[in-house]
Amino acid sequence: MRMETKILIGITGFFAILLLVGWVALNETGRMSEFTSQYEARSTERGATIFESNCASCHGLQGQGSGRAPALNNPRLFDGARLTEVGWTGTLFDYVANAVAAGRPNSGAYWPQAMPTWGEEFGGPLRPDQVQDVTRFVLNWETAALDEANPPTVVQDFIFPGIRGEGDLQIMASGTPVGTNVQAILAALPPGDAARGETLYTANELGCSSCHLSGAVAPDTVGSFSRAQDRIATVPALQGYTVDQYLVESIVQPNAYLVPNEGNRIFSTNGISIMQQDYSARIDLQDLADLVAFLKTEG
Amino acid sequence: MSVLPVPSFLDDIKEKGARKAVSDLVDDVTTRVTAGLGVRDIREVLRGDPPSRRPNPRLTPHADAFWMHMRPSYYHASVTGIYPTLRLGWLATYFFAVEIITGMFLMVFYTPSPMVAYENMLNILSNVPFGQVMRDIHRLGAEAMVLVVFLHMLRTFITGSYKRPRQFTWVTGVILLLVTLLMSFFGYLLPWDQLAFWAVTIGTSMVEAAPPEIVGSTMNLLLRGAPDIGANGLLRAYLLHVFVLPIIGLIFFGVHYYKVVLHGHSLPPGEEEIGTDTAKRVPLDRRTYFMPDVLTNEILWIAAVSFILTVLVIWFYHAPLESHADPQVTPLHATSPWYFLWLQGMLKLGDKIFFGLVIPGLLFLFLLVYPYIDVGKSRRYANRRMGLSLSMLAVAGFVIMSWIGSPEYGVETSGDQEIVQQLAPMEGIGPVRAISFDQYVPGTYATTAMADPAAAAALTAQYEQEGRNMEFFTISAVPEDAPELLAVMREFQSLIKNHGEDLPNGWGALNILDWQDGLKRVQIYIEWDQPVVDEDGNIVRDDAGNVIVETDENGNPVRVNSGKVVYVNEASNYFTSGQ
Ligand code: HEC
Ligand code: HEC
Ligand code: HEM
Repeated sequence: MRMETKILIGITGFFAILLLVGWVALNETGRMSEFTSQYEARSTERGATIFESNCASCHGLQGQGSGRAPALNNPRLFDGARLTEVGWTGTLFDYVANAVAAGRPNSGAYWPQAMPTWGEEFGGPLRPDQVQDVTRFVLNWETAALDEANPPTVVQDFIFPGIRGEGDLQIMASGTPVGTNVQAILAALPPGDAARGETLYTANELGCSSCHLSGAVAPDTVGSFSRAQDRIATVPALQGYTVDQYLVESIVQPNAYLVPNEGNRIFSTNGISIMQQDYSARIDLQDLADLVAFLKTEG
Repeated sequence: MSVLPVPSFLDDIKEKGARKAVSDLVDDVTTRVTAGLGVRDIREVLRGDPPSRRPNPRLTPHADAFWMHMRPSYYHASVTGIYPTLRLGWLATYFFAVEIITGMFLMVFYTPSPMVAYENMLNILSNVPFGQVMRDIHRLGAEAMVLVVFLHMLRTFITGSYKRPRQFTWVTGVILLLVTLLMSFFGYLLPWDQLAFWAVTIGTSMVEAAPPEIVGSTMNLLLRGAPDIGANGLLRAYLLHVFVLPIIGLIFFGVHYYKVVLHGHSLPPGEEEIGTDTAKRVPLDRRTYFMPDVLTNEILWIAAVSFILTVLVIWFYHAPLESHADPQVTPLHATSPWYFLWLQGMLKLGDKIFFGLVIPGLLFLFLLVYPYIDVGKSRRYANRRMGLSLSMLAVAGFVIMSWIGSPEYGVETSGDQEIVQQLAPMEGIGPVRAISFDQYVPGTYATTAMADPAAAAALTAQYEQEGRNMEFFTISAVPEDAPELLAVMREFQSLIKNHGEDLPNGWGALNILDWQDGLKRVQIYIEWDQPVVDEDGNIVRDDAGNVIVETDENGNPVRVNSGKVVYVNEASNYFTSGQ
């Protein structure tokens, strides 16, 4: 090859490489932001998988919440109310990621179990990037949660007077708590109003239906009456019970008789029902009578 | 005359006039920088003219300058063409340099810890200008280097250049090959993704098998820093990759190249008498001087390769990055890097110790001492039929063993898993995720109904009667305006058909749900009759050759099912990005 040709090719090659590098430089910003948005989108997909296998049993498949855990598709989480309420000054992303990674001690008596710890660094099973994945998935409910024309189904929420649930509080009678003495309760039980019982049962304050509705995480509301009859007839320990007695006991002493777990539907662990243990201190005789009356209408 | 350059320059101007003074100065500086070549000499070099003064100024840099003194000042004209070297040794050197430069760039943004390594990769890709290009060049360069070094070995073998007096050059070459392989291999682990983790887990598992047990487990501990690869293993791989191996490589490269210059490049075998080595006795008229011919050839060569490399990484090649390494999740078909596939293939042949350690160890030893075994004097092709056939056999063996090592060969996975992997692989995209987003029409679609509404209605009625969960089993016909969905269903259908053996009476469904804003949930469902299998897991047939299936107490076939759920986000851009 002649020297001139070599030099020509060499110089052309050099400038061609320079041009290519320039072309890369021009596109770099766009490329980087596209990579980021694509990564985040796929992270949301992974988060959805993690949510379905780890969180849905408590928070509901669609994040609507259940008797075991608050809703995460909740407008209050996204409009800032929740963050103000708990005094969180950081971002929502950090709030959720933090709750997921570290878990939560049980706040008050709303939930039967605490929010478990998920972050690897605190002894949980998820790596930091997985915590971020599931957080991105939770935050992706934002549009649906804030869609006022088409509000999401939020089954269960924290109840805070003044923000939500004020109306619920007023439907509660304010008499003396019933306590746990089933015989004494039965002796004094007034006639019940099934309609008011239903209101109580479905309201957020007690949250009965969030667990029991369609058998979400507890025996189905429908069939409460006939199941009570069956159990009295078949379970030796319940011999001689009346239906009222069974229902009252189920509410004020959830652990007295435990409905057996059904495969991976866990109703109780170590002899403790996941049902709230403190209803005996939160409702009065009339509430209880109404609830029982309502349950007896459910076949 | 003043001692200071500036007043002396001023003196010069007074003496010779400005023009001459400046040109003398430039000439002087150039001569100093190039250690001997003035402006005029360089101009002659670039024009391809012979040197106009004696002694030849182009030889001075070879005597006086550090870098140039490593290169011979002239070559035998017979070795400066593409044949016999193919310039592969030079290319290997070039790739080594490219790897060092791009490696240093990547190093700035990388920390060898499982906590952050993967995040660092994401950062390099999403936040570092030129990060992707650098990573792609580094990765492609590494794989190319393995290939080039291998081909270079092959060519020195074929031209018989390993023979006396170049035996030791070959030995250092074998060490360089090993260093190259190991460097590439340990670099593989650094991104800390699934690909990295499992390839290196497989690759290092051989070490553990070394007998006796105490040796194997100790070596394994030394290498991985723990029984399994973790934080310590990653740190060790990193140190080997960026420090230990490059240093060993540089040292042996020095020896290797010293030997090459010492003995001269071997002439094409036909050009010298059998049993002589005339590489260093170059007649005057056969000399090709390093400057300008070899130098410009070399630069031209790497300019072309650099250009190709740049084009490749911009448009055609991106270094893979799978999901974060996860010891709990074994990929369906984990493989080692391609240049170790042959080893994986050996392992499939049988005993781990024999095929994984003894044979490769012997092979390596054999390569190392080969020049001392094959002492035949002739380097001519006609006299080396045995050796040359052996090398071709070895190359064929390498290819065949690599094929055996690949997942295509003899890896048994159940049909349903295979189908799911085809439709929606664990890593990468697959047809199910690549449907345009607006064609994920919510509903359940069956391979037994496809786009036929009547068939869909009949199936739905049947499943209702069987008491199935109708939220899932209400079958719809694939809508007309979703041709891509239909295409995927067709593929699904034919995959099940191809697995008629292990999935008798099989059918499949895709269930699509709106899940969140811009997010769909797609469930792949496969149902089939459970075939009877013998102890070895082989399917049992009756005399007519039909697959026998398990039956329940009423004599009905036992139906089993499996599947997978994937989520598809609109912004993931599976459809457009192609990766
Ligand atoms: C055992 C049931 C349970 C599981 C499983 C569970 N959580 Fe929770 N989660 C709770 C409870 C109970 C709370 C409320 C804790 C409290 O009282 O503050 C909660 C609270 C939260 C909160 C804070 C909500 C708020 O408004 O303050 C987030 C976010 C959350 N969970 C996300 C998740 C994610 C993501 C997962 C899956 C990785 C998950 N949870 C799994 C029970 C659970
Ligand atoms: C945290 C979820 C949860 C909430 C909230 C809850 N329950 Fe339950 N409930 C359960 C579970 C789980 C069982 C079955 C285990 C057991 O026997 O305690 C159960 C059992 C019962 C039973 C017996 C059902 C049967 O089939 O024998 C009755 C009656 C009942 N609950 C009523 C109520 C009422 C009334 C409320 C509201 C005041 C309520 N529950 C709130 C979880 C809940
Ligand atoms: C990092 C890896 C390597 C580098 C950078 C390298 C570099 C070189 C260079 C620059 C030459 C000069 C001639 C030419 O370009 O062919 C050469 C020659 C040679 N190399 Fe290598 N080499 C490497 C690996 C190997 C291997 C793996 C072998 C064989 C096992 C080998 C054996 C030889 C021999 C025998 C010669 C002499 C060839 C002759 O004189 O014709 N080298 N090497």
